[in-house]
Amino acid sequence: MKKKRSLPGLSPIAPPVDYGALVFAENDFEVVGTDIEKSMAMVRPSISYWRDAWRRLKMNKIAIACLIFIGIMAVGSVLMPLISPFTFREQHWDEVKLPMFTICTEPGAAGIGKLHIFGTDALGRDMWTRVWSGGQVSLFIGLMAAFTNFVLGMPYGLVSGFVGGRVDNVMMRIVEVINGIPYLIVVTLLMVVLPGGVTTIILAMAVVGWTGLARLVRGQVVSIKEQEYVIAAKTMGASRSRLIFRHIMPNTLSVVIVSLTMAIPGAIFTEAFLSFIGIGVQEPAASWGSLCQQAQSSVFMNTYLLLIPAAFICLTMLSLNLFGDALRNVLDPRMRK
Amino acid sequence: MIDTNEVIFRLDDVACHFRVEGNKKLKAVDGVSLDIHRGETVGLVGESGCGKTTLGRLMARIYPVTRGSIEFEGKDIKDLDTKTSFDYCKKVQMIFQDPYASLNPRLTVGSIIGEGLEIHNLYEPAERQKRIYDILEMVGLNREQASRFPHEFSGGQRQRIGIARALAIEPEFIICDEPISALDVSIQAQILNLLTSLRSRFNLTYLFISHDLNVVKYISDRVAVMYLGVLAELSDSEKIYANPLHPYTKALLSAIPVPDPEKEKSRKRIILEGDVPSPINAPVGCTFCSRCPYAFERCLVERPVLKEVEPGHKVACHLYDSDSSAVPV
Repeated sequence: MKKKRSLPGLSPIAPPVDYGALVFAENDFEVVGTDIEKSMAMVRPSISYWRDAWRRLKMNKIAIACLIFIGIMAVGSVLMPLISPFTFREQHWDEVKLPMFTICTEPGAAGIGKLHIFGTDALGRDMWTRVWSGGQVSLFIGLMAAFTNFVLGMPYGLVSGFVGGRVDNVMMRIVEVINGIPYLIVVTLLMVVLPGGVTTIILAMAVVGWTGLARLVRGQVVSIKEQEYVIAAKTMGASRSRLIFRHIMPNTLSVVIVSLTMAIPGAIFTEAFLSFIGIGVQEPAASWGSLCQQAQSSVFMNTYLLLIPAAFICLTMLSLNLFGDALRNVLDPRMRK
Repeated sequence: MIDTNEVIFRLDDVACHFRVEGNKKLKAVDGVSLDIHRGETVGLVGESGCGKTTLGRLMARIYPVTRGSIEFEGKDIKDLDTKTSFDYCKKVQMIFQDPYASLNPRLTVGSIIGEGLEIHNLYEPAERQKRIYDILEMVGLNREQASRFPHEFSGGQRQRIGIARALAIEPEFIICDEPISALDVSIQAQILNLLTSLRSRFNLTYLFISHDLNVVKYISDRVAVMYLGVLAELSDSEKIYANPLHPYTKALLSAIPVPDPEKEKSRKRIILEGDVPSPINAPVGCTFCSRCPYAFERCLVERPVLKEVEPGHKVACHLYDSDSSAVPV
């Protein structure tokens, strides 16, 4: 049987409270007052937009992991070819298509006795060195594509959106024409006319790549210039350059940064594709795409020669895309808490 | 209130038309004449889409005037040269409706308020910071908040920042474009009181745009009622609330709820039929004729002009014409 519990507060006979002991004198209490200095000091520190964005980006573990991975790739691409005992163009004729983790026995080689970590390719070149040196080319092309997009697309979009009217109309029709020509045709034609190499790839991508950003910026500017804070600055007598550089441009930056982050993997992939079809980086220089292309002839015998650069491309693009997504979430004002 | 007879703004048959799809004209403002005297507050009321904001923006020179003229201190604002137009920017300021959209999210409050000082090169750069602090304290914020960003403030505080920005460059005339309609009622009163105290302190002149009749009654010396791009009635604040003449004003005022349930029960409301016509094809005659319970033939063909029927009480209605056969209601 359950025992019936009685609640102390509800017991019928309340224990008598002796209030006699609780007599307050007037000077028992004193006014603490408000300490202005103290109340100001307790206010949380002011956070700028970018610091707030960074704070929230740090909370996204995947984004941070991606950022670290991208960092490793970038640092590795710069350092690994330098500290490797082999160079990316050095051929070991006695060590063709070595499997992974084989010790170098080539007579006369500088790196004799050292490890070929990823083995060697069909010409006896060290894959470890070539993959990292290919990373240099691929990442550089990615960065340069983003940079040229920014340099060409941003001012174009700003002018088109800000001036508006007929100028905007003409400028946007030009963009549409450039956009209407298939991207690959432009790039292929340019590669045919110009000597192959990294510079040509970057140039080809710059010619066609900026239109997306220009459109994006133009759209942003058109909506921002109708915002009340821009109108307020205008009624205050602000000059055009002040309106653009102080009020409009800083407010487009978040969208631009996200778009540029997303442009880098796109450019890396385009370069890989161009190299794969043979019109990209020229021998003996390596890029991730050209490494894949060279590996395809012996794909069944030495699968790792294809898998390693392919994995580098995939993982780098995945990290950049995931990071770009996280950045979009963080920088979008509608996602603010 | 300092009431002088000096006219600061003279609007004469001002119109603003926008071209819309299909080459049609949207007549947002279509012939408004109004004098604003230095030191007074003119309330501009009307329902959504009647052109009150457009009129305010015409005066701030955000939109170009299609027809008629706006004179500021005796000069047409269309003919200002570079220098006088820059001065105009200093003298006429605007407070915006949406305190969330009217502050640049990337700037600190201090630089938002200080911007006008920079543009007009007021004060020595060293003194500007002090001026910003003074203004902040004047609108009831504290100086520590100058380094903060707009998103760290509440709606009422942001509107105070908007007011501080307009005040910083010592304007003479402020266009208040529905400055309180986005705020809570409790905050509305604070902002209204702030505006009133600043007016007497700096001898400001306000054009106060609102759709809240009680607010306009509280703050204005004169009230202009706007309907579909034209002024329907213009009078002293007390007169218009005590004795509205235009049928539209009557209907508008009868819609104000009374905070006494007994009186509220017996309150007679004038319910208007139909909707506001589109400003793309407004009626040829009186703009109100499609909804007016007293409309007669003349209203359909001839647009009434704003005429003084009592001293200081102007109305645009054929019912009050001396030669009209109709009986005024």
